[in-house]
Amino acid sequence: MSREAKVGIFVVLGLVVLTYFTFRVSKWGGIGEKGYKLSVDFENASGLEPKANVKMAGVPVGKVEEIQLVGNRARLVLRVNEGIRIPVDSVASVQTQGLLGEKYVEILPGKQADQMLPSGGRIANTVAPVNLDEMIRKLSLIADDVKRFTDSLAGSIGTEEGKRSVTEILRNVREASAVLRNVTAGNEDRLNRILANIDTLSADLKDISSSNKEDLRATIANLRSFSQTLKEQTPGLAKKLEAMGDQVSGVIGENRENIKESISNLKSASAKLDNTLLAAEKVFAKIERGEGTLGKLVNDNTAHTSLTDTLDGINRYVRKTEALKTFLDYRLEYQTEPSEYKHYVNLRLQPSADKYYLIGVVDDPLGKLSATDTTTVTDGVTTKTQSDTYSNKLKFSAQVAKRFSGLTLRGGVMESTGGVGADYEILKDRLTVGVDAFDFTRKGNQPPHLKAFGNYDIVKNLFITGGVDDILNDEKSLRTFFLGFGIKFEDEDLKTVLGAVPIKP
Amino acid sequence: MAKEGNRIGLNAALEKFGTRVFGMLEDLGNIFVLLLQCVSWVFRPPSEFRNIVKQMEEVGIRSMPVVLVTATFTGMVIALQSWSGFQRFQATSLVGSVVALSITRELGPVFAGLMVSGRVGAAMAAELGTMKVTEQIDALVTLATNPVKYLVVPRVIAATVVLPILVVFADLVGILGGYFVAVYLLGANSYVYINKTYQYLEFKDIYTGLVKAAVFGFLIAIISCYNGFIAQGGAEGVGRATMRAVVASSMVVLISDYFMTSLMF
Repeated sequence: MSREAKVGIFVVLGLVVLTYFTFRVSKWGGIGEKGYKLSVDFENASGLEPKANVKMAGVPVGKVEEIQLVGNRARLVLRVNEGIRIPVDSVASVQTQGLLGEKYVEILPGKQADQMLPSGGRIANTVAPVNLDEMIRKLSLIADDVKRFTDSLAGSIGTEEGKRSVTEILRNVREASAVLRNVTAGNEDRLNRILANIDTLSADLKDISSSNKEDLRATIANLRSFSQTLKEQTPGLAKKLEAMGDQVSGVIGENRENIKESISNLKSASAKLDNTLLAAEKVFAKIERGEGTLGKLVNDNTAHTSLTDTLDGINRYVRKTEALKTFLDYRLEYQTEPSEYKHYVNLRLQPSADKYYLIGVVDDPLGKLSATDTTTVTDGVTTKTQSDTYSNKLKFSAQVAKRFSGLTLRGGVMESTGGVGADYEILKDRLTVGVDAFDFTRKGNQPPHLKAFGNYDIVKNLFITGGVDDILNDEKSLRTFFLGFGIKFEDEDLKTVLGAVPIKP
Repeated sequence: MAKEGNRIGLNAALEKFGTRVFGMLEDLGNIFVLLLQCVSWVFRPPSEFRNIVKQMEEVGIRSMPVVLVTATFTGMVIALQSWSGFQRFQATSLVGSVVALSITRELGPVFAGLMVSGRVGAAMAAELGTMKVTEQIDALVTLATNPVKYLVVPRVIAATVVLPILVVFADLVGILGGYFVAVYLLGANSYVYINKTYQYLEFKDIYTGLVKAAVFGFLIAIISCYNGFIAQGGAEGVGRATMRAVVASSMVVLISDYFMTSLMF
């Protein structure tokens, strides 16, 4: 290929590309522009740029060519594609693509299909663009309302009780409709008969009225003759009426005083009514001005606020009460040495999973130790005998407990003395092993009361227990093994009772 | 003495500086004279048509690969960069416009100019410098051939005409490079990208780029030829002339770019 040919190809190719660009770019020095111009004025054209789209029914039909300030308003010159016809009464508005997208001019076509805007015409009707901030503010207000509504819905229907009542209502409706269906199904024949009867009745009525047309006509004739008679006798009647009027006026004249009195009574009654109304008006005005208790209640925001606070407080309290779990348990321990029975009743209040309060009563057969010294003198020898007797005693426990995963630490009053304890729960909390240490200062230099035990839940509400009681105390043969069982259950009713006890939330 | 020596040092420095300034002014004047000679010889017969075509091949066709590769990667990197910027405010649809505008208005002409000044300016200065130091130019004069008409005019015409054409190709491949990156690598919508590319692109953007390119071509050619003409001192002088040609023409491209842009803003 010759050098000239290469250069020629190079130049031609360059010109081809340049020509391609020329035809693709949207504006070519004002030459070759298609379509016609329209103008439109807006209060505010913020966000609009030249070349922004003009759309009709969402379809691009042109571009914004120029934006100028004319007076205080923005004047847009639109270039609308050839062949797009826009009615004279069309409405233009600035719209946004999406919430934050680019702006464009939307033309809502008018109804006057016979009059179209000419080239250079002006779209007179515009809609002010929506202020986004304003819109968002309104939306957030609405959202607040909706939220309040859904909150109250959640409060009423969302609760277990609400769900129950809705279910109940639905069940009632179902039952009612079932009953209705049964009634109609059972009485279909009867209903049909009733309808048939009504049919015949109306037919009869029709019959009667048509067959008695003659009678009706006669009745009307009678009426006419009666009115005729009346007319003829009117002068006489008038005279009689006059005489009667005279009599009446005579009667009134005689009772003038009475009538006057009645009227004056009426007057005073109405004056009183007036006063009453006035007073009522004053009261209402006071209320409206916010005076007095009622007025404050009605007008003062603090009343509302404190009411809301109160309700909040109640709400919180109710929630707490709801979260609170109460367990009751009873256990019976059989001690081997000496063979005695020991009873426990405990109330466990559990406000949250990791802590509880334990209040209990223990019936301890070895509860009370009483030592009696007997001095016997036999043959001049004085023998001192000390006899210890134990008697039944009710003891009380009150403990606080805190749980750290499997381990629970307890402390407080155990069997009417100070004590501490620890439990460890394994096998998904079914098996509990624990140690209690209490009664640190016992009579007669006895070591502290140490009790090791294990509980195993056979089923949810029934458990067995076993262990060694008073381990350290072998001196007085009080160390004993024990075996027993117990029942425990969660108590809902007791909680409600507790909820009624005023506790500061 | 020290003071005297100081004064001598200062004087020497000032003298050196002054010589530099005068040298630059002299160069500027000489270039202007060359420019006038050039213009005056353009319209005088006989025309150096074959010579012009040869230079067009040299400046245009031979420079195509380097210009196209540069422009492609420029478009790609602009797409990448502006994407990462616009993504921060959800305006990635505008990447097409940004690529198209920056390539056609600015980067296409400038990078093409820089490439040509490096490739062709150096070649011109070296060729003419070698001819100068081997006294071939003097020989031309003795053959009654004007060296400006024979050597400079074809180069200047070729560069002035060819550089805009190079820039047209650079614009095309730059936009295509940006399209490739945005659509195939970043997942832009192809229709939206093309639409945005053309929505904001005006013919003015393209032709101002082409005017710039023509001016660049003219300046590169004349500065390189001048530096070749003033080469002296053997191979070393040729080397120095080449270096000066490339540095001067690259700087002139960037400086004149600013002024032309502000003029045609």
